[in-house]
This record gives sequence, structure tokens and C-alpha cells, in this order.
Amino acid sequence: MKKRTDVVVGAAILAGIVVIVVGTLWLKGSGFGREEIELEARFREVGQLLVGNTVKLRGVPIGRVEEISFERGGDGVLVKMRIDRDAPLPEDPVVILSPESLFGDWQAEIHPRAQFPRYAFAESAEPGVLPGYSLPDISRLTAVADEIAGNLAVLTDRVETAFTEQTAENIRQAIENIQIVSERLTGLVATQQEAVEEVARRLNETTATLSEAAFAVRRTMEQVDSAVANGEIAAIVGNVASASAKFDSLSMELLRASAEFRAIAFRADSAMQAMGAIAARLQAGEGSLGLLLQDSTLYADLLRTNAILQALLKDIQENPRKYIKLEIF
Amino acid sequence: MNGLWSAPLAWVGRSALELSAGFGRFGRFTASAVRALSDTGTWGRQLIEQMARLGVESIPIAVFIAAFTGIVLALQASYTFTGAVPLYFVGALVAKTMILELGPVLTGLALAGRVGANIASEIGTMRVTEQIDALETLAYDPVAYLVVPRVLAGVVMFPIVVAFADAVGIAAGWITSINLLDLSTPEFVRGVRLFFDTFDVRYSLVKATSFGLVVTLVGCFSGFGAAGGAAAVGRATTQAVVLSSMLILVLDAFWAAVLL
Amino acid sequence: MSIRIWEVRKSFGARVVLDGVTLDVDAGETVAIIGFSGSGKSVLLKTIVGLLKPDSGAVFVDGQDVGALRREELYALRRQVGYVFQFAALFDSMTVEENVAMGLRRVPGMTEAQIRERVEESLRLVELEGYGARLPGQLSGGQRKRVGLARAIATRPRYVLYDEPTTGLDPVTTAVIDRLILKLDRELGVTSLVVTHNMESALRIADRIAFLHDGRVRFTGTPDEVRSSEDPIVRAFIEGRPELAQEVV
Repeated sequence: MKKRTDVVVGAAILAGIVVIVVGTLWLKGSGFGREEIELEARFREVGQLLVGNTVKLRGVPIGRVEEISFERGGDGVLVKMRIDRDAPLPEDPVVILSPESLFGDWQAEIHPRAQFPRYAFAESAEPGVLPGYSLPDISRLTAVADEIAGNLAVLTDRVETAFTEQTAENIRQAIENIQIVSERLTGLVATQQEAVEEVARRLNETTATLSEAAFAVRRTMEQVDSAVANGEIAAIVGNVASASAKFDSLSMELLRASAEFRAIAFRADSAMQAMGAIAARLQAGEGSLGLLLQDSTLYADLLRTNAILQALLKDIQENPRKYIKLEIF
Repeated sequence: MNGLWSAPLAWVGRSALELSAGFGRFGRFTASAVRALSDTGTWGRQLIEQMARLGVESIPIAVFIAAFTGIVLALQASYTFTGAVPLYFVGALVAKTMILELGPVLTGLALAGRVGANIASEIGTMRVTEQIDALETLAYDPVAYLVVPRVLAGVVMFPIVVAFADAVGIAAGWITSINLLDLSTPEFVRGVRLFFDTFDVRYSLVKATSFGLVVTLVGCFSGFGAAGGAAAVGRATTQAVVLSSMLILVLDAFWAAVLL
Repeated sequence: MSIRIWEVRKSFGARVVLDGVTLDVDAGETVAIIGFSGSGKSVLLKTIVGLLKPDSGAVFVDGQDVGALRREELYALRRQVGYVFQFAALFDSMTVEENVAMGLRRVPGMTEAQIRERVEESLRLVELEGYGARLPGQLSGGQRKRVGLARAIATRPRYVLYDEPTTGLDPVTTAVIDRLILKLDRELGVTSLVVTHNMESALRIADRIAFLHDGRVRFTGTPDEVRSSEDPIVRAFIEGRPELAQEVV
């Protein structure tokens, strides 16, 4: 009887300890026998990443963030991760931090560097520490987009007052070009799966085409010398408006078609970078107005992207649920 | 001083004195229990039996409470998380609430009733039937013989009982989620793991340990203080349950303030 | 080898229970303390084993001041003293055997076999052989008192203190218990102090009787001296006539 009590108590205590230990390990998500390795990456900042967030490779969870610390004697942040030993890391891996959902959970994704050539990764002098890049979160994206849109609005105002009739013909030509490009883009959207870099490349091509047109404009300007009819400008603006309306619907299509919100975030970020670069180019010119006139195709370019952006922003601001629904719900 | 005022003033004064005297007695009692810890020969053979009575026999009630708490948590969480929050958060809420709060506190309160009342009535009866005096005359230190094994059993076994309660609560929440809610096991597990921290388990166990200490110590104290007959035992039992339940809630707030 | 009670005073709140009690019990002697209910007999008994501390005065057992002993010394002393409680105070979660064995387990160097043997012997002394496996709840009042007695004497103490050993028992059982007390005194040679308010018992078992009244020892003497006492309170007690006591008060 006494002996039975001893056994029962002993069994209860042992079972309790097993429940505690196994339960804790299970809840932590670190199974037995699974071998893990430690991985470290350097970032300029880590957004809203927390210890315990998921580490993914090609969308598959392979580990967790173990520790986040300031770089000793540097301006970076070091993130330690614990991942599956068997995870097939790509050649020249980089780590990108991004929101996993709109609920503030972030994740660290391991990608080959070649997939994101545009991002300025925080390289580390130490061997074995992966370069990292932290994606801006949605609020910061919209803020940046707002700022760029503001800059563009100022620039377009300036351009509008500076335009003369002599440029009108060429601009009309340019607008036709844009329409062609927009049709191309529509096709692009239809195929849908093309990489963001591809879009950017085509946009660059378009810009190049437009630059050629701009050269023609300049030549025309050197020869022609007469006043501008206000009606003409209005017609041009009308044309541009219809073109941008087309883009508007195009971008709507693009958004609606997108299955993944995060993909939009990625694309928006690339677009934003391209946009920023354009804006920078504009403002870095020798006397911005003169440069604009030399390169008047940019005007159309800007007007168009402006319209897309504003439509996108307006849409995001008015119908946030549409985007949120995409992945989260 | 006229009679109108002196009566309530006297009452306040008397109550304050009684309260501080009570604290003093409890302090002395605790000190004697600590001192009696060295008397291993006396409490050693009692410990296992008390562990079985206070701990192992409490597991069914704790598990029962935890199971239903887990079910209710899962259902109410899904009811709350309509639309705006993904359903897998049910797992997070069940696990987090169960481990941090409801596991230890509900178990503690249930055991304050079960264990606290058991101890207080047993020791109270021993007190009024002179069994404690009898222990003294047989050269046993009653504190070492009665109090120490119970308190130690409480301190050791409460965390064990709470561990079962935590586990069963989460399991009940899981079973509810996959059967009554549109949730799959991986989703639930994802939610459970989402906000989990090893600290949570330590926090739960520290709370459980302190509840075990309070429930058993207050039960013993109340029982030892019984003087008179059956009514005194009844009063001691009530006092033990009420006092230890209150202390559990106070301690709960204390740990939340200190550890979180 | 004696108990000396010297000027012991004890009060609970405003109520003075013992108001300077002085009493000597010599080795081998059986002294009965009688007195009205609530005259502090039990309190006096408890001060002897240190269950209660006197407010003033002192109790010396074997020349040791009980109130001044350290814990270990007090427990060592208690092993020399058996205490029979008024309501037996058996541990009701334990069997009779375990109850009787409780004190023995505190005796250093006693093996399990020796303990069992001593338990049997003690139960035989109180004529309860074969009752070892029962629980106290299964016993009658008289049997419980006898188990209490067996428990008190199991360690073979040199002193046995009886707190109203026959209260609430029928006359036959009372006589049986009295005979037991005498037998234990004889066979074990113990010094006994018996608190009772049963005059017959006192006269039967005591070498000397002390009469406790108003917190003091009002009278001591042999049973014969008690019988011939002219003190009205003592007479009132012996004859069961309250009016005699009333005259004095």
C-alpha cells in the first residue's frame, strides 16, 4: 500500500516533468533529432522583425530567428537564425526581411542574390555573415510613394507652363509611343507571371525610345519659332489624360489580377525605386527646366507613372480591404 | 469621549490590532515551519503520502477544469475573431491564456478549495480533539510532522498538476478547434507556436509553486488556529479557502507585475 | 525522580485558572488531582509536559525546569512522560497499532521488529490484543481510552499523566480502567498523576489526593485523610452536595 503510493507519486512527478519538457520543446517548434545550424545576416535595420519569427526558403519555413543584436563597432544589426541543416541554401544567398502578414509578423527569407539585383544589401566584412535587406513595410511604402508623387506633381506643373507649340507635334508622337507601350504593357499584364525586373527592363526600353523622340523635339525647337495655341496644349493634355486613364485601368487590372499582396509590395518597391531614380535624374540636371525641355519625353513618362501611382495610392487608401483580403483573409 | 464615537473607533482600533496580531502569528508560524524543515526524520515519511493526497489526487479535478476551459477558450476566441483576425489566432489565444493565466490560477483556486479545505479541516480537527497535543507529548514537533510535509507536497506537486492542466487545456482547445471550428491541426499548431516563449512555461510553474505554498501554508495555519469544537473547524476551513483564494489572486497580480 | 510544581500561575485573558499551585509528586507515587470542572486540572497537567507555559512559577521534572528547556531537551523529557488524554486523542487516520507505535518511532535505535513486539505487549497490558488493525472510529469509548493508555505507556515512561481517564464511562468500564492504572503502576513502576473528578476513582487508585479549588491546592492527603476531612468544599465534593460548597463561597 505504502509502496504503491510511492510508485504513483513518482509516476505523476515523472509524467509532469515529461509534459513540461516535451511540451516546451514542442511549443518552441524545435523537434528532437532535427539537426540545426546557425546562420547570421547583417542588416541596416530590421523593420519589425522579432526573435522567434519564421525563417523561410522558397516559402518553406526552415527555422526561426534566434537573436537580434547591434553590430559591435558598426552601424548594422546582426540577426542570428537557427535553421534546418538540410535546407538547400542557394548560391550567394541573401536574407530579405518582409512582412509575413499585415499583423506585424515579419519573416526572414533566404534568396539567391541574383533574384534581387536592385536591392542595396548590407554587406558584412566578416565571412559567413549573409548580406541582408529589410523591405519597407506598407506604411512606409505609401509614404515614399506620396512623396514621389508630390515631387512629380511639382515637376509636371513646371513643365506645363514651359511647353510651346513646337513641341506639341513631337509630344503627340510620344503619346502615340506611350500608347504602344501601354498596349505592350497590357500584354505583359496578361501574361502576368513575368518577373518584376522584366517590367522594369521594358520600362527602361520605353524610356530609351522616348529619349530618341526627345532628341527630335530638341531639333524641332531649334528650327521652329512661333507661339503656342492654348487649344493645342489642351488637346495634348486630353490625350495624356486618356492615356493615363488607360494606365489607370491597366494598373487596376494588374492589382486585381495579383494573387499575392506581398508580390505587389515587392513590385511597388521596385517601381518606387525606379521612380525615385527618375526623380533624382530630373532634379540632378543642370537647371531642371532646361533639362526637362531637352528631354521632354520624360514629361510624358512622368505624367504616366504619376497617374499610375496616384491611382494605386487612391485605390489602396480607399479600398484597403481589397489588398488585405488578397493574402491574409 | 462620548459613546457615539467611541464604539466605532474602538472597533477600528481592535480590528487593526487583530489584523496585525494575525500577521504576526502567521509570520511566526511560517518561521516555525522553516525551522522545522531541518527535522527531516519527522516529515520525511509523511511527504510521499501528502504528495499523493494533495497532488496526485488533485490531478483529475485540475484536468477536468482545464479541459472545459480549453474548450470554452477555443469557442469564444473563434467567436471574437470574426473577419478581422485570422482563425489560427485561436491557437495562440488558447495556449497563451492557458499557460499564463487560466492553467495556474483556475487550478490554484480549485485546489484552494480541495487541498486548502482538506488540510484546514484535518488539522483543525486534530487540534480540537487534542491530537496535536498528543503529537507533542509523543515527542513529535507537530509543525514538522503535519505542516512541513503538506507545504512541501504543495510546492512540489502544484507545478506538476498545473503542467497537466496546461497541457490538457491546450489539447482540449485543439480538439475543439479541429472538430467544431474550421481549423486544421497545422493552423492551430501555427497559432499556438506563434507567440510562444519558453518564459511562459517558467512563469506558469513559478505561479503554481507560489500557489502551492500559499494554499498549503494558509490551510495549515488556519487548522492550527482552530480552537473550540466542530464550529471552530468549520470556521478554520472557510478561512483557509477564502484567504488562500484571495492570496492566489493577489499573488497572480504580483507575479504579473514583477515578472512580465 | 519526581515532579515538583511550584507556585504556578496561569490565566487565559482575564480568567485566572491557576493562581499559585504548589504540589510535589514523589517517585513511584500515584497522586490524584480532583476538583470541580473548570478548576484548571487539565491546564496544570499540560504545564507539566510543556504544552502550556505557566505565566509565573515553574514545573520541575527530574529537577529540570520544563519552561526553560530547549526544544530538543523538552522532547527528550517528553519521552519520559506518558500522557493519557481526556478523549484519548487517537490519530484517527491510523490504525490502533500505528497509534501505539507512534511514540516508539521516536526512540533512537528501535528496530521495526522491536516496535511491533512492544506494541503487542502494550495492547496486551490494556487487554486489547487483536485490535491492532482497527481504526479508532471502530472502537467504543472505553476501548479508545485504553488504546490511548497503551500509546502513553508504550515507550515505558517513568511518569504517566492521566487527564480524566474515566470521564464519560460507565461504572464498570471505569472500574476496569482504574484497575488498569493500578496494574500499570505496579507492573511498570511509574509515577502517576491522575486528574479526575470521579471521587471514587481517586480514592481507589491514589496514594495521595490533592484537591484543586479556586486555582490553588486547597487540600492534600491520603484517601483516608480525605474521607475524614472536615473541609466543607471537600465534603461537598465527596458527598455530591453543592449546598455545602455554596456556604463557603
